[in-house]
Amino acid sequence: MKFNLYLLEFALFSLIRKGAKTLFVFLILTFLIFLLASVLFISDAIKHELNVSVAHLPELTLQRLQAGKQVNVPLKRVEPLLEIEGVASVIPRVWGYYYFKVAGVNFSVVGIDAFEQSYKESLQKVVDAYDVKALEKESGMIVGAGVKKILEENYYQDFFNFVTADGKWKRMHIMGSFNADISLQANDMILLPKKSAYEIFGMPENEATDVVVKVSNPEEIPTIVSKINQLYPDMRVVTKEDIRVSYQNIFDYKSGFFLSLFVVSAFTFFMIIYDKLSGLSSEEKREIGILKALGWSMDDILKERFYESFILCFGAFLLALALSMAYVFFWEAPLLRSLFVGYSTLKPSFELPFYFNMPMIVLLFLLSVPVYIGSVMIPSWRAAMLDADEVLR
Amino acid sequence: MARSTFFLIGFFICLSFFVVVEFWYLYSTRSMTQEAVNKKALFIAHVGLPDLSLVGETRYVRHRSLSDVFSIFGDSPELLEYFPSTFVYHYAPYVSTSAGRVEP
Repeated sequence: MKFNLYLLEFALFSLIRKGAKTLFVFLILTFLIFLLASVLFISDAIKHELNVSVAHLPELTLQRLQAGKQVNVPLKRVEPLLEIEGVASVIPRVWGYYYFKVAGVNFSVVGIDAFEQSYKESLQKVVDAYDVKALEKESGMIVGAGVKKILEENYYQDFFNFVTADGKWKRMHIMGSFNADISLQANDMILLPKKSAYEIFGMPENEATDVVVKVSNPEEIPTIVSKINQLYPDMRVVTKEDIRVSYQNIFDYKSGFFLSLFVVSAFTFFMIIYDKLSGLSSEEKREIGILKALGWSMDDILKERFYESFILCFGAFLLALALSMAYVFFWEAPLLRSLFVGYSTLKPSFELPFYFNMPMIVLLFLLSVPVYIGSVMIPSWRAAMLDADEVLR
Repeated sequence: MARSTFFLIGFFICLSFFVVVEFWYLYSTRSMTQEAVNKKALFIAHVGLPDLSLVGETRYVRHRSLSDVFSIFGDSPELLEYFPSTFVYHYAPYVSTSAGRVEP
């Protein structure tokens, strides 16, 4: 297609002549693409964050189900699990939720064995300004940024009194908080010695909440899963792959608010398209007729219409893209953020990592720019096919 | 060339330049660094709980990958919806219903 500068200028003047209409279409298009791009940026960043987390998980998580409910796993099951060939390690875990009634929030409490030297060293790297060695002897705990904030608001500056299952108070000292880099994972977490976790939850010390299994060779996972199922039929095995797959459809597209948002914006967009497709206004038809009478070929008319629509929607696309990046990553997506963090009082900071998903941007482009251009070109093509006197009549 | 054409070309150049600069700035300052990835890896290795603490209203949304089907019904005999959490986040498919069946 040969580029004709005069046609471009004509298209530009045509847009300026239509003034208010051009501005309206430009603003609507910008807003729709901005809304879609923002939601997609947020969801992609969350998915990226989740995929990074899931890559470092143990291969298998075993939960014991009794009468359909998850119950504790007896520690005596650890030895037989270790004997299965291919299993590298079996770690019983103690974790659960602690409801802090005063603030109406749930903390995730995780018990750890902080004895081993290598363990302490690696833990030290994710904790700000704190000596992990003190964790065990001083009945200390490490808390997430959200927990620290809530406790400080409730006058717990240095310690927190857990109410144990027996109704007694268990004082734990706040020894440090997690690094800001892991705030999305650790915002509501409390890490404390396993012994204290048993006491707080009122769990017998010969049981664990669940068991994680590390497997050296990923190829052996299906065999190991079937062996575990044979050994303990009441245990549910959640593999890393299961979790990864579940993250692919984390957002509830079926009944989600997310979907309704998408549908509303997409529907509005297609309404505009439909309106355009349903036929040109008599004024536009007259314009085409005059152009044809002046000697313009159909090719010229279509080229002019193409330039006109391309300027409008490509400009809107670029502007929307720039605005949505700023909105999500600089201003932390006000309003839209509430959709993703709910109304829980333990809100994490919404500093999402920047993640640019190129196929998503291409899809967004294809859904907006060519569709709009098509909606302008098709009726123009229909009108341009007619004779000049027929159009003008 | 008309003045408005210059404006148009200028507008597109400025806008494209702005998008590129913004992208470059975000990419270089706000992307997940290897250090952050390592920290996340260490943390996940310690606690083994992968889910993000974005929503804490319900147990099956907070630690959705490790919940069981009855924790979905746990707060009440009926399924409670927590707006907007349960509308936005889907619980893990392996604890959910498939073809009308409820499978723990």
